[in-house]
Amino acid sequence: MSLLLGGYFTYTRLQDAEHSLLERGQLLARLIASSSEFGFITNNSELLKSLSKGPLLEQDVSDILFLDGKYELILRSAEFPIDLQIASGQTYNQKEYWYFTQPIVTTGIPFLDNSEFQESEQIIETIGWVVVVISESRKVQQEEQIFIANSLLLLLGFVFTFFLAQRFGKRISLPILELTQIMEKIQAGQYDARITNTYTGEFNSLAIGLNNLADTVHKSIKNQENKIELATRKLQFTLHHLEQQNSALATARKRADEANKAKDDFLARMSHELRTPLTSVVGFSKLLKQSPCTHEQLEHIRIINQTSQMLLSIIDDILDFSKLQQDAITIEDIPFNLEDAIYDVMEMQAPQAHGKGLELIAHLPKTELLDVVGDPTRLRQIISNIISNAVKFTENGSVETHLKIKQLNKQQSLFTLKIIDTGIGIPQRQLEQLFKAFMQADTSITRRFGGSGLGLVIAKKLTELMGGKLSMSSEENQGTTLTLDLPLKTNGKANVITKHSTKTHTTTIYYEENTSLRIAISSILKRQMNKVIVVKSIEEVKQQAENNNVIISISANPQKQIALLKTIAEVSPYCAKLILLSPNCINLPSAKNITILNKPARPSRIYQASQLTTCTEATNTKPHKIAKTIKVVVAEDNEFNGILINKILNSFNIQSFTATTGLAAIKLVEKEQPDIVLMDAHMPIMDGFQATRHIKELWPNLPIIALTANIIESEHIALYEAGVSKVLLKPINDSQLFETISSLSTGAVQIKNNDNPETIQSTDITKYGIHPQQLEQELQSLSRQLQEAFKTYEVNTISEINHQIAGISGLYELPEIECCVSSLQDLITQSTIDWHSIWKVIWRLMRILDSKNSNDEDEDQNDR
Amino acid sequence: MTYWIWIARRVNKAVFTALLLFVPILCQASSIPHVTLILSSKQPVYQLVADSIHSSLQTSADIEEYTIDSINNISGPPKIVLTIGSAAFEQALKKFKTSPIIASFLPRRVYEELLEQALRKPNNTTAIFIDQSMSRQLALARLITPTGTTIGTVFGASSINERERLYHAAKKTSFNIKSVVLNSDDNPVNTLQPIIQEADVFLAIPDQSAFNRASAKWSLFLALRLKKPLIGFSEKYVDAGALAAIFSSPQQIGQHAAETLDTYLETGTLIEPAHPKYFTVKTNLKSIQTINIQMDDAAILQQKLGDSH
Repeated sequence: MSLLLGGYFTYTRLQDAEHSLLERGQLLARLIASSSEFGFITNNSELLKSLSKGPLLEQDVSDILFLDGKYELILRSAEFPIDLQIASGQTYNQKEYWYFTQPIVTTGIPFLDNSEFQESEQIIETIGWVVVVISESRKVQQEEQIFIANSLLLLLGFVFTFFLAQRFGKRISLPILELTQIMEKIQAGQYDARITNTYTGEFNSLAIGLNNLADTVHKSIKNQENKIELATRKLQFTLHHLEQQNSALATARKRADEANKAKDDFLARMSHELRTPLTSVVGFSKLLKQSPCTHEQLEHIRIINQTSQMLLSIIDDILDFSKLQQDAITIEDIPFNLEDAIYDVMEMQAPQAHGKGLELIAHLPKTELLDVVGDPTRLRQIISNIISNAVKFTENGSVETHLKIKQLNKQQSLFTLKIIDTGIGIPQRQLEQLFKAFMQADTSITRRFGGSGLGLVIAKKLTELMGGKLSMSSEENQGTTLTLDLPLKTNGKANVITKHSTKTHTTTIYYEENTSLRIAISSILKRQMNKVIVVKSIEEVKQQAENNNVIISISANPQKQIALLKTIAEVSPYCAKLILLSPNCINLPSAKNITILNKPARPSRIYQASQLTTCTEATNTKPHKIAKTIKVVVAEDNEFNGILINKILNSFNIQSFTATTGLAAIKLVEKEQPDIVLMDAHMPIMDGFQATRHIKELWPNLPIIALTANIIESEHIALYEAGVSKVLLKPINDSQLFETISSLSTGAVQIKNNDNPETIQSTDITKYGIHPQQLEQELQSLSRQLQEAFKTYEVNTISEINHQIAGISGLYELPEIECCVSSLQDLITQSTIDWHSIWKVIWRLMRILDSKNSNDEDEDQNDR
Repeated sequence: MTYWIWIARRVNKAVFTALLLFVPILCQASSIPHVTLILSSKQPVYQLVADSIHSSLQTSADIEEYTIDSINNISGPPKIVLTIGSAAFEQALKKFKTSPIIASFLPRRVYEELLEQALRKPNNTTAIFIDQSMSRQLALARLITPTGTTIGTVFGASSINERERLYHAAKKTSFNIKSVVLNSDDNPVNTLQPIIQEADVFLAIPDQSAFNRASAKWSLFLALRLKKPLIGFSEKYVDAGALAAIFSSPQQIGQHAAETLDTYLETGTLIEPAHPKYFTVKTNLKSIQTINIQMDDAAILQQKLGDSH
């Protein structure tokens, strides 16, 4: 604005200066012209000069020229060169000078009253010219002054405007800033911030408004705070109440957990307690059986054994169910052959089935198609439960197993296993009940058939864990069909290495009375034999048997067996080879050309008996030796146990190093850098839990297998939490140990074990060069040490020795000793030690050891 | 019938009465002289003269007023023509060669020139001039400068004829005449300055070539500068700075013309052409103070001049 105004005023002042110059010049010229008339008329140069003097006093008037009517110079005041341009007009600018030209005219006065005296004339005669020359210097000077003055004014204006703007700006911005700061303070939570300054106009109104707003907000927030405080108090009260309730609940839960744990412990202990005496019963019944007994006594022993086994089975069921309930069972992925698994179960159930005259029939695809990956143990358990049920509830007829494969993709197939019996069947309304725990179709069943009622429940739950489905259909008095749909990974490698064997050209006559079984076996035979003649009557066998291989399947029905045995005796001399498929070890004829195979006969065994090389045999060859040497550190405080474990491992070509404490084990691991560690759970100085944790911290990838005699679940969980890869129960099963080692050790060959691991059986210690007498001696030695310790009342020594004995008894499956050890442990851990009871237990232990010793001696004598 | 006769008689009586009433009127009309008044223009100064004639005329006359623009509307030669101004006289001379003419409000020099050109009978024309006689002007000069001996003046081309009358009047008033002829191309200052400087009183004689607005100015300038009395010939000259002037106003001339017309109407003869009978003397007090001269008041001067006339 200042610039605009300054520019405008400068321009106008410059214009004014020029106008002023022009007006002044013109005025001077006019004045001189009017006053020089007389001088011109009288031609009086002096007069003209005197006229010029006055104007020439002006600083910028440079020259005054007088010209006559013909523009000829009469008089001039200065002598500098000029160029007059008369035609340019009255006023013009040339070089640094302005020229103002004015005519000198004659003027007159009115002197006539009327025109009658003479004509009234207007004489305006130009008698000469006056030229006033004005220099621009004054104008330039004036312009400079204007410029300077205006510039100064402009500067002053700028400064003034600046200060004015700043002042006004401050008057506007400062209140805004202060208002903003107060607003920010209020936003930041300083609700007592107020505007104390007084402003003018709207700002004051705004400040008052803001203060009022802050008051309102403050009040509102205070109200809200009060409300929140109130609500918080209520909430605190509620929380306190809830805490109390939670505390009560936690206490209740703790109690419940404790109760549950106590229940688990109780269950485990009870099962253990039950199993231990039960194994004692079994053990003693075995011992009793070996002693000279009458038939009646033998029958009693058999019954004792049978009922013990049944009881053991029920206890195992309860344990399994308990584990399933707690989701403590993990499904493994191990390569196995489904045919083997099915036949394992069938063989196991065969005595019961054949005892009832039932045929066990398996319709299975080729064995090569049945190499799968899964959990064989649990699958056997499922199939076993189903088949045992089928056998249990079928009085006559057969139990058939049908297996079909449906390929889902390259890696996985759906295996549908149907187990069909011809039993009593189940009413439709009771089918669903069967999959509920402890439920049987009829309460009378329990009374009639016994059993825990958990078999199907366990089977169903295990099937579901494997991702399969177990369903049942039944018709009363017709039979029951259980369908097991199970997706399993197919083992491609096993199939690849399958060799195609050449079929034999010998004619084989096959007789079987049962149609279904006939179809099943003939199908198996035809896979490897070119000429198989299936005959439906024994008469046909007689006719065609001469110089041919004959396979006769003996019916499970005892009544039919007698007639058949006669025919067999007749036929056998003519046959090239006679293979009898027998349901039990009845009195069968024996001859060189007769081979007896127990029913159900595995295809491989039939082929073997027929002297055929089968692919199955080729693939099933067990590589019990590991090509690569595996290093194993064994942490076992009991020397005797250590020796056994070392020998087992060495038999598998596994290099072992033994440590007797956890600490020694750590040092040994550091020194030897093993592939696997076998860790006893309980050891002196440092137990297996601590040692496992230390080793895992240092070598997190090193697999550790824990060995424990304790079947309590909580201990297993604690071991897994400590970092062990697998928990194995004592007594040691060498195959299971080997499988576990091979599966955990890197680079080791996967092993397929045909042994039945379903029931963990103790290892035959004699196989590893440990004589039972050595075991007895070790135990006797420990027993004596125990007596010595008792005499001196050294509880710690007793505890240590007891642990040693416990380890040995667990490892070598000595249940009666285990029972004593357990009792002794309970006694010495009590707050008040009952020495009398301790002595009783020690005494009992000594008697057991003595009796074992005497038995062994008897056996030795008998052997001799 | 009687009624109709009665009506006829009444109408006859009315007509007769009417005729009786109009007879004296008609007789009187035929005895009033008819005067044709011609104005040079419709300018107020001429109208003032005409108005003065109307008001001063003693004789009853039918005066028809025309201007030179409407002079052609005059039907037939008028009995007597009274012109106001030079132009009217010139047109009347041309238009009415036989009608007697009384010319008024024109300079003597113009009257004489026009009359000479018209070749009319001398007794058929008379005039009342606008200008004053030389003797009256010199008498005034004497009254102003009773001791003055030299009277200066300039003549132009048209006023040179006045020289004789000036000299004649000078003799009567004991003045020496110092005059010079001033042409329009001459430098007025240079011409006037020695005359004024040398004379005791300067007399301005109307002449277009000698006295224009410029020379009038310079004569005034020089007279005042040289402190010499200047006697002008118009009121405006006195207003402009002349010491004194003697002049006749339009009314005074109109009055004199009316008297001349009365004489003619009464006697049928025209009197000799004459300068205005009535006049006015006017002085400029500021000029008197400038010149620093002792003189009588204008009224006294007028009175003295009237006596001298």
